[in-house]
Amino acid sequence: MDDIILNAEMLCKTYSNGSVMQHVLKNMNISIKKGDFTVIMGSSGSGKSTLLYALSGMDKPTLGSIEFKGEEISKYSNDKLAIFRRKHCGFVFQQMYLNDTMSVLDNIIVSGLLISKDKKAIAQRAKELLVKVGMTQECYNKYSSQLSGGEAQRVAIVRALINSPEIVFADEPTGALNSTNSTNVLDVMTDINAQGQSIIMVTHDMKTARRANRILYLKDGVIIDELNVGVYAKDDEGRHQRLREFLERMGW
Amino acid sequence: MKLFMIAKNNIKKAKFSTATLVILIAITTVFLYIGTSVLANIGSFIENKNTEVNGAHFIAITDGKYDKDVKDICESIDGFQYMEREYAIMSLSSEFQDLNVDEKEYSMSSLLLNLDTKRTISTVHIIDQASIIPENGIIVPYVLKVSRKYKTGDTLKFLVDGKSMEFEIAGFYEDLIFANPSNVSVYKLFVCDKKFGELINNPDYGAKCSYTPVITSDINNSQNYENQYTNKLKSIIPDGDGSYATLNYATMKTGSAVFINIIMAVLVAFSIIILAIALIVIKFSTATHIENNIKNIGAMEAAGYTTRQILNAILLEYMIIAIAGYIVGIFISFIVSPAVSGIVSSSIGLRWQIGISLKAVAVSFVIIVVSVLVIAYFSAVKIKKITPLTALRNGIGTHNFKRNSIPLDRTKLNVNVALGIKAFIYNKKQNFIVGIIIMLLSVICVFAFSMYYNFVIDNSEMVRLTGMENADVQMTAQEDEDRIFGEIAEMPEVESTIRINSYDGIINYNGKESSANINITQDYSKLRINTCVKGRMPCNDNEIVITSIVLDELGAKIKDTISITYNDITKEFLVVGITQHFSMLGRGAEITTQGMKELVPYYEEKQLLIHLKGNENTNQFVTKINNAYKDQKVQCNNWYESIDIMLKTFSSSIKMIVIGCAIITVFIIIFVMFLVIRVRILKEKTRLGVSKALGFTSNQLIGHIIISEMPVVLFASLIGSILGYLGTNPMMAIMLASNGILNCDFYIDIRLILITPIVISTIGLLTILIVSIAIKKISPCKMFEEAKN
Repeated sequence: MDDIILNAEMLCKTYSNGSVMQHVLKNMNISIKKGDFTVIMGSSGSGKSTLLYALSGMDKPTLGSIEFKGEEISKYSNDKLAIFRRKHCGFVFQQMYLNDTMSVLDNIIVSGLLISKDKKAIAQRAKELLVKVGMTQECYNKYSSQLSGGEAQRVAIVRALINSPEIVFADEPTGALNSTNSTNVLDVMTDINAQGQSIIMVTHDMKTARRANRILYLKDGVIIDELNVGVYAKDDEGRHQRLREFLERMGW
Repeated sequence: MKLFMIAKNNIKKAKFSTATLVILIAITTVFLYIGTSVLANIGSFIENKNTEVNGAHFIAITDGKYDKDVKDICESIDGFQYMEREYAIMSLSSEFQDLNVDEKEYSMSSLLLNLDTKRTISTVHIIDQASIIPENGIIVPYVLKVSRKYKTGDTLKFLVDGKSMEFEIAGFYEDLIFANPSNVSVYKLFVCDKKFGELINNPDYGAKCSYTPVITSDINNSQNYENQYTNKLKSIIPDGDGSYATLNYATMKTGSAVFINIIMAVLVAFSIIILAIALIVIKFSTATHIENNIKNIGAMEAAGYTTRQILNAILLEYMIIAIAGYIVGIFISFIVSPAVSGIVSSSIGLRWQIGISLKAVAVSFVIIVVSVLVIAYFSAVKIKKITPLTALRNGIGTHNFKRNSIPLDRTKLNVNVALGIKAFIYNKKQNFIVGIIIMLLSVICVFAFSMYYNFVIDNSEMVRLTGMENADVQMTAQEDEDRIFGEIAEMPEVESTIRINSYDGIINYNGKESSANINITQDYSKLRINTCVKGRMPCNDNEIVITSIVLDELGAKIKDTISITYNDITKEFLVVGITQHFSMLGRGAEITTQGMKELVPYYEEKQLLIHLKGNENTNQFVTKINNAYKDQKVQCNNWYESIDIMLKTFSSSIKMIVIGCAIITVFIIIFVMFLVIRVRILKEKTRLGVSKALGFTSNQLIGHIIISEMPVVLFASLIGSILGYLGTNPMMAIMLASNGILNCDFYIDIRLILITPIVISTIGLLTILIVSIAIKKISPCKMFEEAKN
């Protein structure tokens, strides 16, 4: 129990559009352990992204509680959630959402400055992280539109890591990338997870799901099953087979 | 049909922007339509009115001693057709008061005629006629109904030198020449035969005179007819004694429209500024619309729409908006047309009854719709260069290779300030357009409030532009004037006096001639109103200053030598200066007394303008003088009140206009600021949502927005205020140029340069805060989900 960092109980999320109520998440219970690479899968409309945003404090649940390291965050105000996110969470989006008015380095530093005022230290850490994800010095002053999709997503990952978050939340990070770039990005994510970074990722891609040690399958707002397959190993065919079978059972 | 569907959808998507544009176009339409319909129709309206009553082309009012000479002269002039003559009662010191409305007695010269006289020239068509005209019934000018709210049945008190009589208003009439006291400071009134008989033999209420209207063969040449009459009369009455007034249709027609032209010029000026704001808002909206819908545009192109079709859909969208705004504007114009009719009627003194002016509809429609389409086209034409793929990949602005301003690792600025400034620098082009909009809003704000001050609170500049000396009392003495004027100058109530005269003369230069009202006084430095705009006033006997209208007609300028002929004596004068005034239709000149004496050796100034001390009661002084010199040929009246009455109808009309314009300006500022800032903030929704996701609080984001938006607002409104401060007087001079005004000195409070940016910035800041409240409440993921949609 000590290494559970995120715990949600009876989590519900309902959207209403006039007289129509849409129950997206229904009484969901979920715990995330430190160091886990958790992937959330399911068909379109199953509530994957909704669950991700609720757990990360990006959206407030309608009912239920979310505890982060013992801290109840589900009742926080929007500003308190923002402060929570900057300290504990990192985000990687499918669309990257890099600020196209800023250079690569500035995109990362702007997040770092939310926690620390030491610009030099932040810039130094940003450069180290950029090297780790395979980006060279030439990219520092480039703008997002001058980068390939894979490069932009790696920058987004660095932005997510700059404040050493407890958990990185990724919403289909390879959804807009070709296979080469997808592999590069997944390699990065696997590496950081191997170094102890907790990751929660939404995906509908099996290749991406292979990188996780834990797969949660959603259907109609409920976790219908989960699979623990252990740490990723590229050539572990048995592991990949178990995953395939699991997904087939789920009807994927 | 498909283009219409696209256009309709675009309009629905941008409801607020559409509504703002419709309102701006509607306001432009109202001002433009009203301004052009009045200006386009005023000439023919006056002509038709004159024809209705067979209005006189020329009128001579004399003391009755030279009736035969007057008749001979009139018949001898080319163009004469026929004339009539009747007796009238003239009083220069009469006063009036309608006891049924809330007004004090006021001075106005009067000319009483017999209602029952059979006349064919300037016939009397009575409006709101009493069912039975009582013996003391009086028919008064129509201008009194519209500007002073007199009604049939009201009791009208008529006073002359302390003696009073009451009449019952039995109706109103229209007559171009006597339509408005701003044109001719005389009320022409009609009383019944019995009453007329009593008054004509009673010198207490005025002097008996001969009233001679003439019809000529060419109404538009009536000014020339008057000039010839004046010249010929001088050979009979060299000093002009006995000739009270000569009036002609052409001059009065122009004169009656002076003020309404000014009012309508103000409206048209406002409409042009508002149209400019609307066009720039369209440019801004079009650019924003294309950016926000670039993916939709890409999808349409991918589906097979050509760029021309997409462009045409945008043009159709703006045409729909323009036509909708135009229709709303025309509808509002019709609703306010009774008020407009009231303003025009009270300005010209005739009952303004113009229905829909098709010419004005066409002109305003073409100006507005064509301007909108041209701007929309040039704003949207860049779509033609966008390929489907570029559009789908968010093509516009995809490649941004700008220099990275304020790099965060090296700047010493606080992160929030740095981010705000980065956004400000990045949006340079849009900031420029927004800046232009705010600048124009500031210009119109300064202009509107300056006009409000100068026409509603303190109209002293308007009074100065009339060119008339702002003395308290004017008097004329036909005999013994040296002694009388000397005694008056010594009176304890008197601060100063100026002997002055004027006459209508003809100025010649290089074979051309032009009529002008020529003022004569010994020392122009004693006058308190300085009408000289170039050069100087005359000091020597051979010097003259002339108004620009007359100079232009003659083709003369400063340092040229013109000549004036009076009774076969011709004298040359050197032009030493240019004056401006819009009294006498801007046609004037000034020479010295000595200069005049060289033309007319026996010339004497028979008019005196009197400035009273501090708190002296002007009307009491007037009564004192009239009583003191009642046995001598002296007329005395409240001069300042006469000018005030002359300006009154104009003042009340222009007040309504500028108050309306000021209120509308405030609304336009609020609407446009709200639109512009709201659009810019919502455009940043994705970026704001991501920033929120990363951990920026709402207050930090609001701070970024304020830092990136407010510099544009502050700077542009300051520039606009300065431009408004510097440009208001030149703009007014351009509008008044046709009346001979070269420059204006309206008071523009320098505090407006500070107040306007403060007000506009406050509105901008409030707008940011109001829109930001919405941002505060939305969760980050919802923000970029909504932005995606």
